[in-house]
Amino acid sequence: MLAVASLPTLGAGDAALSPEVVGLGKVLQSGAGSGLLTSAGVATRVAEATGGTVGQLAKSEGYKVTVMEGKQAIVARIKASGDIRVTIADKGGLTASGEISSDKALTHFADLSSDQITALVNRARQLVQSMRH
Amino acid sequence: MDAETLAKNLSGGYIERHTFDLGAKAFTMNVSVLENAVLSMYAVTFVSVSHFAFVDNQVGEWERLELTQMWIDASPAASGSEEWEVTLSLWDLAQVELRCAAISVDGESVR
Repeated sequence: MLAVASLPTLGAGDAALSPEVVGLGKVLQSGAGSGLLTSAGVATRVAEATGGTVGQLAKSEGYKVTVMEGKQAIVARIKASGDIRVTIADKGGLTASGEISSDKALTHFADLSSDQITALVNRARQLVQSMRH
Repeated sequence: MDAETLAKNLSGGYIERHTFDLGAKAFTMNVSVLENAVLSMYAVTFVSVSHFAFVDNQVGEWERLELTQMWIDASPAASGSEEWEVTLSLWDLAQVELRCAAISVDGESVR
């Protein structure tokens, strides 16, 4: 399971809700399982911290946060099951120590907090920036 | 190999080589999977492909193709068209959706 954290409060009269929060509200209304709710909250917090955009995973329950660093996409995949990956498209996944690896045993995580995922995304950004130089 | 095992084994691997033979209606890909420092190679062929869609909203090209996840959406027994229905995710950013009559791995049919 993902680390439990507080979810944003949805006010009926709040006209300034971000798309991410509106999406989270829909999940809340759907009555989906707690894993999905938690993954939505984690994805929202990671997106807010990194300036990324939240989208639903295509076929799995969960969300992805896409962060663009120049033309390079960094994707944090946050499944409702708790499975988490951070990848730099065209390069590979990040290990817990922030290195790029093709070994899937080293790049799939469970039970990461939003802060830990944000740190991996920021590390991915640093790597992309260093590749440009 | 059964389809569920195939999807599990290939997810997280890298597509090293791929060809789509329109005449033979066959999509072939060689996938390398590194797990716990053990490298496994799979030669996968989707036979008699009747549908092939590439869904991508990204700009730019990729030098490496990660087969981020593979889904068997339906087996022939469960499919309305009596075909395998398969989705391949590339980097969680693009998808290949295909239908085919059979799937083989290293020359053996997938059950």
